[in-house]
Amino acid sequence: MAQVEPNSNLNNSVLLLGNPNVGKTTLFNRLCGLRSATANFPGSTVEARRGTSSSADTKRTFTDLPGIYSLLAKDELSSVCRQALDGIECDSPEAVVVVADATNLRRNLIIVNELLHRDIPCVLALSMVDIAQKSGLTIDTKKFGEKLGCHVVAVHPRTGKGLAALHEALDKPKRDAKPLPSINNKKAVLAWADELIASSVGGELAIGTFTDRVDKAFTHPILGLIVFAVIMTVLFWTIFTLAAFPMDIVDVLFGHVGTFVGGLLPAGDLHDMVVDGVIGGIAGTVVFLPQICILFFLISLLEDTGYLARAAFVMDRMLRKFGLPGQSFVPFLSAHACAIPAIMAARIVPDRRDRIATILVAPFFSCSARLPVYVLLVGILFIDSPFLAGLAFFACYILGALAALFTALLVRKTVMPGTSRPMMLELPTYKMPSLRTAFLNTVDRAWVFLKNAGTVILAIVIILWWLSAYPKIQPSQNVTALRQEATIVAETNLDASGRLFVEADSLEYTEQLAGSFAGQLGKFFQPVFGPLGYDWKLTVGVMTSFAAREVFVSTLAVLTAGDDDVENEGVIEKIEHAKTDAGKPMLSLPTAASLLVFFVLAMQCLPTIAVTKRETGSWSWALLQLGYMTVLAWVSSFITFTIVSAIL
Amino acid sequence: MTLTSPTIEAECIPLTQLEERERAVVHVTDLNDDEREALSAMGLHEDASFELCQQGQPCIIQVEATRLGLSSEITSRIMVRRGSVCN
Repeated sequence: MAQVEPNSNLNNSVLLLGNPNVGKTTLFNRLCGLRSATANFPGSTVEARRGTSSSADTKRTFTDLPGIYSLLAKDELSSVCRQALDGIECDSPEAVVVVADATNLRRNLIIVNELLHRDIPCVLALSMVDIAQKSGLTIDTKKFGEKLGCHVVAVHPRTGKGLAALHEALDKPKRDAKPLPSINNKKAVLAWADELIASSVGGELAIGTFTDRVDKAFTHPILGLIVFAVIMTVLFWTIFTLAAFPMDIVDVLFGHVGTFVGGLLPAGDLHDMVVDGVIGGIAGTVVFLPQICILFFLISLLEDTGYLARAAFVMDRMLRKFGLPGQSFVPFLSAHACAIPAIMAARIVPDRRDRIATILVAPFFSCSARLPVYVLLVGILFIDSPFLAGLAFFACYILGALAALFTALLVRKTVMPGTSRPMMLELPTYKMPSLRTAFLNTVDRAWVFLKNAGTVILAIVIILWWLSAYPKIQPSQNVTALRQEATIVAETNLDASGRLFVEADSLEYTEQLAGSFAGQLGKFFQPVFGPLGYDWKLTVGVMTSFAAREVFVSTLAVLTAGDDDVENEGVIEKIEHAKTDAGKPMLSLPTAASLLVFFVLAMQCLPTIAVTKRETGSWSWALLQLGYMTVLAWVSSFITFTIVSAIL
Repeated sequence: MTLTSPTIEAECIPLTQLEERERAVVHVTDLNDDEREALSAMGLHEDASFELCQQGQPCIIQVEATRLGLSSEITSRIMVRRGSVCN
């Protein structure tokens, strides 16, 4: 028997290859745990996780390749697997572990045959052996290995059983020359697989009717929709409920970090850049981390149960009319929390064209960052009617969803012609989800998000801070007069003096913002937004909210801080009662309606643009998304402003 | 497309006409290359034997141990022969 001797010169790189839904990633998680990271394959958007795992005296680097059915397929995933096996732009593998579902050996052996034609040592790891045994199959792994010409080990990724045997097999991989059928002759390959199975596998697989009954319910046109609605309601209720507390903690934590770091740095530009730009900007993104973690944890659990594949069919009936596949529903639901995890969740859409169409329209769905703006503007529009305010709030969500669906239709008729690929999915066996797998997947996704926040988003917030901090504007006479007055009043009334100082600071900040590059941009672009009813302050608010929508209310709060016709007003009241330079209400009804439509439809989130670029692998899609949504928002807002002005 | 004898051709019916729990063999498909390749990789190639678990949208079939969900756009273009025939 030919043994491949362990070679100390090799890089100990092991690839995990196999069909989808065979437990490959669960095995990877069991082998590497947290000692892993996600990286893109060179020249592609396909990701693979790499991690290390040690046996008695050998440390190995495992790479979890994407699940594929065949190495011969023309799709990107198969191409990436071929590239990894050939060692193109990555380490040549020392060995390959093919993970195969023991209950479905015939189909899984097709890729095993394809791999054996390459002269790479391999180990066949049989997963789901326990299910096979329960279903009536017995597998003689030793005999199987002898017939196949390589080690065959039974593994149980969830418990870790069989991992020692796997490492042992990798210590001394063998690759005997056995006659193999041509990879292009499907009949010969299946005959070869049948012969192997007949020689080493006993019994017949019993397929239960439980799955049939559950599938009938989960994919039923009405019952399936009800089940789907209940599960998704619980999912999002859980996300919003559980995320609120950790989000507050992150918010407070960054506040303390800002105060602490601010105390260490001397007043000046460096202080402002670190505290307001870096810490403040990163905080604005990282605050969504709890939502992202909970979302991915729950989606991972759901996926593991086997339900998501059924739900995709339920939604496919509706989404296909708009050129989208059923799997798009997961990103769309996630988008109601935040577009960033939604775009990341679009990875569950298998076809690249369908995935890009999903990513392009996902930001139309109303995310949580839009809520403060909706609250402000709906409150202004329907101040005396909570019922109408509620309806308007709901209408914002409907408008966003309709814009997404009809844009998807437009995308599939123009830049990405054609319909979505008809659904043909493998429906995995129902099983209890693995908390460990869900946890490790969540850590992985969170780390990808944080890396993005630490690079692209950090760069964006520093640029935005710089635009709003420069050039430096000298405080006006009003500011100086307020401070002088505060100093005088301090001798008799400390509270009043404090309020005057705060007012002076706010006014100085407003003047700084108005005179800054960001403010100048606002004034420069005001003619563009003028037809929508916006003055320069609203234009600055809209412009700055292109960094992140949630800053709109705080920007307006700063810009209207000096408008103090009425004493003791809250922030919202000040914005509501703010005046334009001409003395007219800044937020008239037509302007508020136009602004509301603009915020529903516009792409005002630079981090989302960065994530779109990352997930599509091209700035073109990100810029198309930004341009299209902005133009659509402008046109819709203009129509709204014109109609409401005419009616009133 | 596969050329077959008129007798076999006459026995063929669209997958959509099969009854639940009936076994059949894929005879010929009118799918494009990508669709045929994807289905074949999942085990549903020409001459593959399968059992129909659920008719409708989705149509669910069992090919050996693999359970596949197929939309009607796919099933309407697959012709099958009733009965279980060895591949």
